[in-house]
Amino acid sequence: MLKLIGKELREQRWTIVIGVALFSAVGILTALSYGMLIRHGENVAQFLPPGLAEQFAILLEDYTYYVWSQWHPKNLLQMGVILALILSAPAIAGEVNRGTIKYLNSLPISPGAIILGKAAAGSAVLTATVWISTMALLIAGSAAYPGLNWARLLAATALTNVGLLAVYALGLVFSALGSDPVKAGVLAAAVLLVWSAAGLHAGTAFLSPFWHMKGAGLFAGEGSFPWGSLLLLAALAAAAFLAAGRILARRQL
Amino acid sequence: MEKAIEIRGVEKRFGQRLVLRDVSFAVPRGSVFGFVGPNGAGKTTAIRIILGLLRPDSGSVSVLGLDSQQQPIALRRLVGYVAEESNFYPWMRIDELMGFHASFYPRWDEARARELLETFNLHPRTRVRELSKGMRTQLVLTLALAHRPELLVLDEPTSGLDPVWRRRFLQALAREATASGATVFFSTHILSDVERIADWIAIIHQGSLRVVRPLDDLKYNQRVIRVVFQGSPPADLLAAPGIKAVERDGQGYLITVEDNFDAIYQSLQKAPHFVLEQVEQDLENIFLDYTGEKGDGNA
Repeated sequence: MLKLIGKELREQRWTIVIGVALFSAVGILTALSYGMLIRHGENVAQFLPPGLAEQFAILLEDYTYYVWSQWHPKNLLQMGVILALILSAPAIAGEVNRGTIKYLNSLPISPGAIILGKAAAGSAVLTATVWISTMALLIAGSAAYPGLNWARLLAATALTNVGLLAVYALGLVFSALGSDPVKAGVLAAAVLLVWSAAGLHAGTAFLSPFWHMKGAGLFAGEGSFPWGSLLLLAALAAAAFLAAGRILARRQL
Repeated sequence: MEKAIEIRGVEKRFGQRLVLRDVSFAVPRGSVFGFVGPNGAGKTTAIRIILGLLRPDSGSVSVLGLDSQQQPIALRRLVGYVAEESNFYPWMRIDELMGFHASFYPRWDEARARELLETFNLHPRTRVRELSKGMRTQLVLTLALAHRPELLVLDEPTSGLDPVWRRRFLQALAREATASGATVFFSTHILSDVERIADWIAIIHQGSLRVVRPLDDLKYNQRVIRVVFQGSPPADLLAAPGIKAVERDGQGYLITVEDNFDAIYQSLQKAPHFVLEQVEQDLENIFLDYTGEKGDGNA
């Protein structure tokens, strides 16, 4: 199993390097943008319509809220979804596509263990990218400007991380179904797009996994940790990983 | 007879197509067993079922005493498998691939693996993508042998190899099988490969098993006798057990025998005849006879 995980990490080494570098750069810029806006906020506000200028002012009132709003629901979530699909789509479909799945299947290892190895490596890459870049953001943000609430931002990161694992697992399901990594990625993205439509209306927002991934509950009302969202996302991820294992076993490749 | 593989009543369909129909046979332990059939006969499907990679629609398979459907992982630990096409990770070096492969086999013997690499002149630092087809086949054989399997299963191992590489591969296979005492089960449509190393043969055609016998026994008993009787032949003589087919050839008869050759020949000698001779049958003729593909219409 460890060798299988090692092989996966070796194959994804450039994705890891580029992913961590890109996410960290965006994270650092996100944190540093607050100080810049504080310094030049008035200049910016005068060009905004009255309603938007008001919202802009509220956004700048709380450093932590600003960083969260620009990082977790936007950059981290969006780039994370793309990374999760880039990692998961070729996981099985790529092996089928290049013919190596027959070699892998001929080894004394079950389809479930193959999925487990792939899932462990993919999840490790995703998790490392999310946390390394968030830590870079927190360190750079704290160095540049005081008052960042690490605990809240780390709690939101945990939610986004688990949500991205669910997205990765969904990509793995489509990867296990097909033999074309591009098709697998596009199909998974299409499903997520349709699913995300629930988030457009306040009444149905809770049906969207992205709503749960943002961790908005940490910044609303009493600011308690949304355990329900965490459990829901973890359950989604587990169910999708199981489904991928079953699909691979049934395909008898 | 101790059995390395036992297949009982296996059937497999892909959609509407029946790929294997009621296939039953046993592979004796220690034998070199050639599983012969034309392309599309069902050889690869049968091998994938034997290894637990495919589920049969009915029937059962036991390999080294393990049920291939219930214990496929334990089974594959004891078996060395050479697939028809082995696509490894092209970026891996040979030593990396061996390290990866070895991690799945508790009985992996590193010294033996190095010895096999030397035998085949394969350099551990060479990348898989740099290997020729012949070298790749030898690498597969190295991987299949280095965990000292009790059973070696090879699916069309020499397919696509030129005569030089084919000869080298078969020599190595025969040498290793003899040295290790492992059972060798290999599929092929190249009859000269079977004649060179097999001691048992099974012929499969259109999903049905046509014959399973020791190769020498098959070649000895599966013969054609040409006889011209003086007058009519005795009524029961041409229906003796072991006679597979009788054809009228002008005044004479062509009798295809599949068993009891000596007894049948002696009976024919006793009947009054002008001509009595054996027609030479090589393995190709025997194969075509069983697959019904003879150009002369003999089925």
